[in-house]
Amino acid sequence: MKRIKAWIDKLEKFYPPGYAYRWELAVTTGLILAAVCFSLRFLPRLDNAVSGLYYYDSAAALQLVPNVTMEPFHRLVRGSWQFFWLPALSQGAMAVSHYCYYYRDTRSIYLMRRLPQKKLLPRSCLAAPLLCLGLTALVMAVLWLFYLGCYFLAVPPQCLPSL
Amino acid sequence: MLEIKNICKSYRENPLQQVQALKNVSLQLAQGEIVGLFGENGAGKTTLLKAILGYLPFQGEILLDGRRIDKGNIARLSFATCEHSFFPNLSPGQHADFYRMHFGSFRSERFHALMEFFSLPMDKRLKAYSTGQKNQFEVILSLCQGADYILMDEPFAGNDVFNREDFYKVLLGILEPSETILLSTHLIQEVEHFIGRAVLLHQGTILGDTTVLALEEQGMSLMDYVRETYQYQGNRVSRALTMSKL
Repeated sequence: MKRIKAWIDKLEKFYPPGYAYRWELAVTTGLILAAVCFSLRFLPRLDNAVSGLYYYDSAAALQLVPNVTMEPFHRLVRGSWQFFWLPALSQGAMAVSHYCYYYRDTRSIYLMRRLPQKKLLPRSCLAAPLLCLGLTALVMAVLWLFYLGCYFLAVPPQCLPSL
Repeated sequence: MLEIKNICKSYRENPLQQVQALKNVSLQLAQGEIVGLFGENGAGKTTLLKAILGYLPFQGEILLDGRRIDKGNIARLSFATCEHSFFPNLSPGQHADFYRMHFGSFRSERFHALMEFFSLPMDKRLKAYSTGQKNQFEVILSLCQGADYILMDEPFAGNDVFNREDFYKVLLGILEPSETILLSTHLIQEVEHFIGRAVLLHQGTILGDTTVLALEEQGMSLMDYVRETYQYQGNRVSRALTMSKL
């Protein structure tokens, strides 16, 4: 737990100074988790599609439907990414919120624009949203690989569609 | 030397009306000067300071020791504004760390001395400071950045008179000969003994520019000079009152 806290503290440097970044991180994490949960719909869909490959014969034994072909992976997985737009799009709003922070309560934008380091202002606005976008893409890639693995494990080789 | 050459700045108040905030303003500030910038509301004081700092696009040229102001020399300028430019969620200690990280010439000793003098809590977030304390801290930061040119825009708005007096004394005591101050304020009489030069702005143009020494030689107070330059009619209130009675 301490290690996670220390890791979260390290993220502070990607946000504007004094910004309530923990709240924003929690929102992003929540949105990504919600998108992952929604995306898990793939598993029952896969189960359903695999079930369609089989039938029970007269002896109540499970048999493959002759010459049957499984629905292609890309078609089966297509609807699983819908909710990932939420964490991705929210990053744009968060970048705007970071910039607006410099006008909230005081005009700390004056200080930021006076810094000798030219890139600090855009970095403080964009770094965290870009990191979160990268994290979202990574989660999607990991899920995609996981789903692909499940697909190949669950579908009998003779039923795999040709590429 | 900070050279302001023929600065023009206009705002579009609405699609049909353009307001000229600065009209061919030229000014030179030598290092070590303490200059008061005076003018009525809307005279262009804040616009001039913001133009110097590069916050606003303008026509003309501003040079710092012969060089345009950019990221390479911007650290030689600091700014204290009544709008405040600190981070409200950070404490003074965190600000000191931030300034130290980004301004190589940050004056740590001066910072701690001023914080102690004004009895400002070091660990409290600035959000929780009173308006007067926030003003004090804003000025402290501008004085401790390590800048050669310190621009101040109504920095004491909201501070009581004793507090302001303290500040003028402290400023005179701590400033080094290389430090220049351009102070925009309405408190003409108060700063008379603190500044060495007065620049008067009126409707975007420089109406007067004189040294306090020259005024003393003429036996004139700064307030008299301001009244004379602006052609202030002292009897206009009584005239207006008489007119209203008629």
